[in-house]
Amino acid sequence: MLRYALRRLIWLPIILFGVSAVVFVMLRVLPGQSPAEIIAGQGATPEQIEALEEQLGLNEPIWDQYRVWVTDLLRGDFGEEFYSQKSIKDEFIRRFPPSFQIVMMSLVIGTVLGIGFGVISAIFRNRSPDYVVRFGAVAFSSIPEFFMLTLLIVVPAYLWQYSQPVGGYVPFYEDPWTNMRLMLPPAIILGIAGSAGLMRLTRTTMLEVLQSDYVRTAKAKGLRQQTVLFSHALRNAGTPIVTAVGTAFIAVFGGSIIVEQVLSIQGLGQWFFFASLQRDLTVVQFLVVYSAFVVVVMNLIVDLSYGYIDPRVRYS
Amino acid sequence: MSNDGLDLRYWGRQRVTRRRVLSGAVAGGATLGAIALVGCSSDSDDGGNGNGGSDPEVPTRTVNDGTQDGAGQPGGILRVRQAAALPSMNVFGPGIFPLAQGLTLGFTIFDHLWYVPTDTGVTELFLATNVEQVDDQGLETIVTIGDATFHDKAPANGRRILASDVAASYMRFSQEVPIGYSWLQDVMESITATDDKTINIKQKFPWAWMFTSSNAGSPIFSSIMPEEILQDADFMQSDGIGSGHWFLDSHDNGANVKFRKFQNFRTFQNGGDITGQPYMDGVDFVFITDDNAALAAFLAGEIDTHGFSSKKQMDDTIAQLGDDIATGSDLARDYMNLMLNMKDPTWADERVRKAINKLIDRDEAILLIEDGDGLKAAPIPPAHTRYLLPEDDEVLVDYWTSNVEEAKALLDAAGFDYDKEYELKHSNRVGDSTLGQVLQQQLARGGVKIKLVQEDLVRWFTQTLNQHDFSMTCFQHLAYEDVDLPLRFYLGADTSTGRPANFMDYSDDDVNAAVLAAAQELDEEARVVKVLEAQRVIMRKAAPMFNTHSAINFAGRYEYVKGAITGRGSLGLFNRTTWFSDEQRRQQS
Repeated sequence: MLRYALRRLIWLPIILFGVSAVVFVMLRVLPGQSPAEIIAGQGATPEQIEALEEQLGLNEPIWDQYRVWVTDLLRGDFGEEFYSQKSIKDEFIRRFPPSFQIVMMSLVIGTVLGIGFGVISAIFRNRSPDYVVRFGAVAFSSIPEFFMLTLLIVVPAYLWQYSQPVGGYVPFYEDPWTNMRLMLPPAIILGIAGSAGLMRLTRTTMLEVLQSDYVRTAKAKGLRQQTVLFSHALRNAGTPIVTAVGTAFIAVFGGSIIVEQVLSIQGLGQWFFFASLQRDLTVVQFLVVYSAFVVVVMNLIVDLSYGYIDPRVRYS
Repeated sequence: MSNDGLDLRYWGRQRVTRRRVLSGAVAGGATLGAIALVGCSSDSDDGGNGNGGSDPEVPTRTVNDGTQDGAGQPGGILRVRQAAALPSMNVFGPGIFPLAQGLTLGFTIFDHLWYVPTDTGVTELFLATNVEQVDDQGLETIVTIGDATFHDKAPANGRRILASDVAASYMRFSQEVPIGYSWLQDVMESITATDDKTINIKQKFPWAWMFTSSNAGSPIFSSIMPEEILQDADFMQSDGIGSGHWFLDSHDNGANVKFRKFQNFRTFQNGGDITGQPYMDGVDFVFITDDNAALAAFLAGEIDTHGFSSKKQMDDTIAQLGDDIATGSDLARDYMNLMLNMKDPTWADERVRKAINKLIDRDEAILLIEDGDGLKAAPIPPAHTRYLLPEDDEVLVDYWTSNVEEAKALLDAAGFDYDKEYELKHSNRVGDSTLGQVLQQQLARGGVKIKLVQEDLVRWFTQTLNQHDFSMTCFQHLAYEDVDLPLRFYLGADTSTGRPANFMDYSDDDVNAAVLAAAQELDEEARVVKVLEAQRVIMRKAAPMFNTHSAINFAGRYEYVKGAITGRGSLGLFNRTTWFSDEQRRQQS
């Protein structure tokens, strides 16, 4: 397993190299004004724009620009934002905690709800609880997250004159109550939205496993239903479910952009949103590579977890 | 006040975006940052006119000077919305974004020589104690400043303001041509300190609005700073020092900006005593990017003021909060327009331009875009009441009358190419996009085929508008404090003086002469007449910027917020006279 993990890790820099190269080139060949022209503003002379391009390194050949960027990146120098000249590294460190909290809380909630209701639905197949859960899954997966988030804000405001805490993110260790008031409701919404697919997958997989011979044998041996369900059935149904959890993580990661925008949280999602609109190339390319890194690592964790869930899986 | 809440985050809002207007006059036009910031500034000011629970059908135009609620009480922190984070605190750069900083800090931490409220048009002296024009042509002005100090922060450390600081600040702004402050440079010959308290300003030529809020009295680029920091970009990245009534206390990377009372703020203004101002202990800008979240925060009492996105939203809020809030409406100073670029030979024929204008149905546009809450605009937008043509003016009536048959006849006579499809570029601001769709439908009635091209706001502003890279474009102008810019937009290039081309690359001798005649007329009454005449010339010539309308804004504040200045342009954004009648709110800090 260790060798398998190492082999997968060797692929990590290769994948990141490919992603970073594609992103770097694409951002620079897109039509439109160069960042230097935008920064220089109206009335700037060609000389001023040229000087700015030189300062930003934009007049170098694209592969030289890429080489410099990658070299700096490997040295831990992520560069600066084009417009504010703030350190990207500092900004990332500042913006990471709220985004991480949203993603993790949503993922935990989504996983618990998805697997939990999936099992319930499978146990009560074609009975009232199954119908209720399936209806809920379809309903929640049909409603866009931004709409749910808007309702989350508007409905309590009109009904009870209640508002989410305003003014941005407050770390949990500073003020747990305010942090939870701010983060829990959107995490529940993101989690529920992400749980719908997981619930249906869990149900389907569980139904298949519950009809297998070894489950019947376990029941015939007189094992308790909990043992049959969770030790035998669910564990054997786990492989596709874990794959789905990994996918849900990536989806929640994207969903955090909306949450951060709606709730005025200065996280990575909001940063990416504004950087894209402002064509802040250094920020966008850094965040895309970071996202690729997270996806690759998440997939690796999912792959490695197969062996833990199903001992028959061998990494040879 | 015609403004409400910041929207550098203008994306994704319709009416709110439309209302995120420039609180002060700004040379050059909109920026992303500006639009964003304006919202928060205006929220802080536009508290409505006190008609709580009422149902205003028309803008009240009520002028309140801040004393309407009696003597102000000290204490309390005003909480207003900040819809976008400031990229930095540096009002000089980089690029187009400093406008946002300029708008936020220019009304708060920086003091100015004077300000010109829109209701009177008369200069109100701030730091200046005396202003004297020493020649008949208005080409040389001597300004004397009073005793005041900078904020107690290094490197200024609360030292006295010198005339040399004022001169250096003006010069520093005048060097920022890329930001769009070139007019200060173009008109101003020199600004020098002759002693510690005296400043000498010389102009290259007379200009009626030289010292108004568009130019040397701008809340943005007449901000006075200590000389020590003017070239210190590193310092200004995250902090600022001025002598304004607030000092910059803290900010969270450009968001949640907090201002606190400057205890040593000057005690004089316009010959009067303003000891005790500002009454409040400070202002907190609360970072709320989403409009719904802002409304929720207002309903929950988390912020003290709010700019509504529509009259209906205001009415719904009144139904919720009743007499706890005061609401009001006001006519916006910003205005929508359709612009044609003369580089496209299609528009060279005056008959074609007249036809385009004849196809615009302004009443319908107001109905469709503003739910009927707006007023038609002539070359000077309707908020500038002193310069409005009478509604029965023959030229104006003809200009505003939509007539499809007449338009078709004009187009036929001009040999207009009906088969060609014309690109109408607009930004992705919802208000601009909606205007584009309305114009597309209206022009189609005359057989003019329009292809709408939507662009990101930054791209549209920096490239399409500023590089004049369009055949047709439509957008919302910012809210200008005086009529200088609305009129100057029609002024063509002049190579002899270095005056640049306007956005439309349009130049007409008659229009140029009429605009210059107005701008260089120093007598107030005579200038009003000349501005009216300039508008007539612009309309007769069908100059290719057709203003459509201005919207009516709706705003609210909690009833305990007193002393707001309204109806005086952006003067109220300084928030010096605002105070809390609620004892509990006064104690909160």
